[in-house]
Amino acid sequence: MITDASELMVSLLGRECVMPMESNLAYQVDGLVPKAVVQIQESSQIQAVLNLASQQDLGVTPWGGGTHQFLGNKPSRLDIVLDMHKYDRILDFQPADLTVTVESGITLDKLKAQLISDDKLVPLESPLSGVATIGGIVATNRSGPLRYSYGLPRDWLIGSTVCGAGGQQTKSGGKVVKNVTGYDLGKLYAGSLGTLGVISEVTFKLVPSNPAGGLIVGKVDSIDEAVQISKELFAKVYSPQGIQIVDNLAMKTIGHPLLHTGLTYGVMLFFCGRIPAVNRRMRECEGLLESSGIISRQMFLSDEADKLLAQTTNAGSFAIDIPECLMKFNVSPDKLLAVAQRSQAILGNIPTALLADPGFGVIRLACDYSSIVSTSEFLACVRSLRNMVSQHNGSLIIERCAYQVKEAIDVWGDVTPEVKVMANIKKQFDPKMILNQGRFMGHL
Amino acid sequence: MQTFIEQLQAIVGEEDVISHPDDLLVYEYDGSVDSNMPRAVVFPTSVDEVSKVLELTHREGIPVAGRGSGTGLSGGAIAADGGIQIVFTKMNHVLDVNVENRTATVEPGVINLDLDNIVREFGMRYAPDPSSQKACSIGGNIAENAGGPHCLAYGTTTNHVIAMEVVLEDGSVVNLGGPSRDAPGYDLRGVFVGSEGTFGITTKITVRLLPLPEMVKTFLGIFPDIESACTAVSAVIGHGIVPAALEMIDALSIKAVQSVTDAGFPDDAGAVLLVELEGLTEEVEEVTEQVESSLWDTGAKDVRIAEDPADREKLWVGRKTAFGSFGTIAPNYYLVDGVVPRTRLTQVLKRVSEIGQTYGITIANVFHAGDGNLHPCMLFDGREPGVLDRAMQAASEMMEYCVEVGGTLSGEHGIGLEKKEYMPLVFNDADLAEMKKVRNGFAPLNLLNPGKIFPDGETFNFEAHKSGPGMYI
Repeated sequence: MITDASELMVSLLGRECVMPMESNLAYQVDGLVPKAVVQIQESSQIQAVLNLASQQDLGVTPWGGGTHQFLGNKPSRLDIVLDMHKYDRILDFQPADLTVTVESGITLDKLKAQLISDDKLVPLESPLSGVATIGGIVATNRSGPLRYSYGLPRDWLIGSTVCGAGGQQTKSGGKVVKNVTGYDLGKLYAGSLGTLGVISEVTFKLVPSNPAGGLIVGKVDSIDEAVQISKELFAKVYSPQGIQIVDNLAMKTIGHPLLHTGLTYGVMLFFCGRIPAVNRRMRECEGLLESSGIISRQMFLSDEADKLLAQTTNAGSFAIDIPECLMKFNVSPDKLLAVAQRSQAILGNIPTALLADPGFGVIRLACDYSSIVSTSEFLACVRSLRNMVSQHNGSLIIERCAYQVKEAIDVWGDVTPEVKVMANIKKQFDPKMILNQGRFMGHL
Repeated sequence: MQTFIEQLQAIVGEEDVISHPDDLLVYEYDGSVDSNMPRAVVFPTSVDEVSKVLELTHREGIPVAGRGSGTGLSGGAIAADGGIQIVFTKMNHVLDVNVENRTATVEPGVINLDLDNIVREFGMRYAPDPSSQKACSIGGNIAENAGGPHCLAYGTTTNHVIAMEVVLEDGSVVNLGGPSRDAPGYDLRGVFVGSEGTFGITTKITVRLLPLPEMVKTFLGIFPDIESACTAVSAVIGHGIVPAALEMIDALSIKAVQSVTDAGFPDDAGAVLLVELEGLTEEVEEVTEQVESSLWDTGAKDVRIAEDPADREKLWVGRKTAFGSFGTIAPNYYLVDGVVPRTRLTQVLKRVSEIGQTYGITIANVFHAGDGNLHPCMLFDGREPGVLDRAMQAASEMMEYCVEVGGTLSGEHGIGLEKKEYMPLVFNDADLAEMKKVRNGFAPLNLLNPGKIFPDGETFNFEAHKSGPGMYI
């Protein structure tokens, strides 16, 4: 009997599908190095691996581009990584029906490049979109500065095929844009971090591509001013498609050399759509900024605006300048200012970058704390932050931190009554707990 | 020792429980073709009462069905044998409208159109607009993931629900979703919407509101036949335009509508297409010419534009009352809710017509053409021997064909009792087993709306409904 995970995978799929052992270090998650890394090229391989893993009680972690493996608690075990990036074909693109079906390992950039040839768009955004795969983006429910208008990946997912913990492949939804036939399991898989199944194929509804894009950056003196102007803009018919509020450190992360100079806070207004409409929105928004006394403004169009949109999306997970800790707050938009200000007060002089989405109610704070406070003191701050945000009916999760810190705190926060339902569902889907065990909310 | 009914009365009050068969008659039905008398109906006024009722039914092993306004078209609100209904007509308050967050928090019994009318005073709207919106409730909309004409651009109910307070099978109360649309954890909110009352009972809902558009322009394309009108649908979308609504009305339906109200549809048209554009003035104006040319180029005999609210309202009254007007054609109806890729519309409607001829049944078509959601409505006299069987056979063939061309069984009415035996056309045993796992996660005893969605060999009792006013699709 073969007990070595790597040899088991070789015997199952052949040596050409299993990465050499020396490569495994590159697939570590929170300090755990997998025993085997399998490169998937066919859905039958996913099924075969999961079936065998279930029989042998081996833990499995799906891996797209590996851009967001920092999310979640430290896994309880890591035996086999399924590297999906070679499983990347477009299976069915129907421009006239505005749908596309793809294998989950395709990167967002590759998919978008194919769709744009027919003037179509899948309105997903993700940090590192040249590496991030569709499966990973769905599993993490990643989004970007345009989420206010476009929503989240789960809003565009109309069909999914998933390999379950025992290797059984199942589907839900379909290829039509409106569908109430059976439960919408796609919603459940989106954002589940691969703990319920390995996403194999997905179908999205599409929209016509945007002929124009634009960006206005206004420099303001305080976060109060930034939030206030955002509220005024969102109340207008010509509101931008997304707004991001950034402080100086976050703007440095975004990486435009001119923008962070002399900036305390920036209000970034993102625009997309048809040319006359984008022109009108930009013109009116700029007028509103001017009449509000925001003198320092910069405007970007076309490629330059697209580039800054991508850089701001990357900054959403602080993918380039990785901080010691990245926190994500979810609050209602009317609580955003209070939570941001209280958070800054609690963190005191810990260097913190702030990136907030005032329309969606998301704040990200990136902290480099170790030069100022000890880890235990920082964790005390996190507990204070959690207490504070819960008083505002919001939540705080830690998206990034060292795995040693993860061992001292649940990155998802306190267990709520809803986690009991999640645990029931996880138990139904993965009774042997082989899929990304321990990483999800409630250590599921 | 209190009886079960007495225990219910102790929870909600004597006046809020009915159990006499005469009183229960009206709750035997929803808008579908089946019926079953509940053991009792309760009318709670708070989440606390709902929770206590479910604690009791959980303890006693009694099935429960939630019911909003009873307008559902797939039997979702019909009680299981020996089961009770929880009816939300007394939990019908709009609790909060938050302009800054663009949200409204409501009880499940709030009527869809009432909510929309209230929030319009704040310059906003609630986008999902099922044709039954004058009568249907938000709780019912959530159970069925209700759609409507304007879901083409704005999505169905699932895209507009942010958070819910839900009572589970055992009476425990949970909050699904969160203050932002990106709440952490499994998206229990998302999978709950459209679960047809099988996961839990909703007692409070926070919905997302949209700003009112600056400009609305509605086109009426008048076509010689339904084929050319279907081609126009593809032509509009092919120009990179996704209108707010894109609705089709066939010749038979036009005649029926015009016989009860003057919607401005020409009597001699083979089909009319309603195309509505919304947005900034620049957005609407830029594509106006393209929409017009799409309609003309595909064979429209005439293209009219409703620029003012009164003209627009007239057209929409015609569309939304179309089904109610079918009473002028035949006393009974049965309709299908299949969805197909929109490029297959012409092919599928041709097949629908053939099926109607094969079974000798008149079929009228009023449907959401933009998202391929058909509503072939079979019109007949239920007193005619064998006609119900023929209608069922015809419906069966239509659904099979929708699936065959890449579509599915239901776009917005749900599966319920009516279509559950057709589920194997779309999903295999493993797919259905995966869905049941979610239900087991929420409701392990399967006491909430049992017997719905999943095939179990139990066919429904086809009772032909009367067509006429109050019939919405």
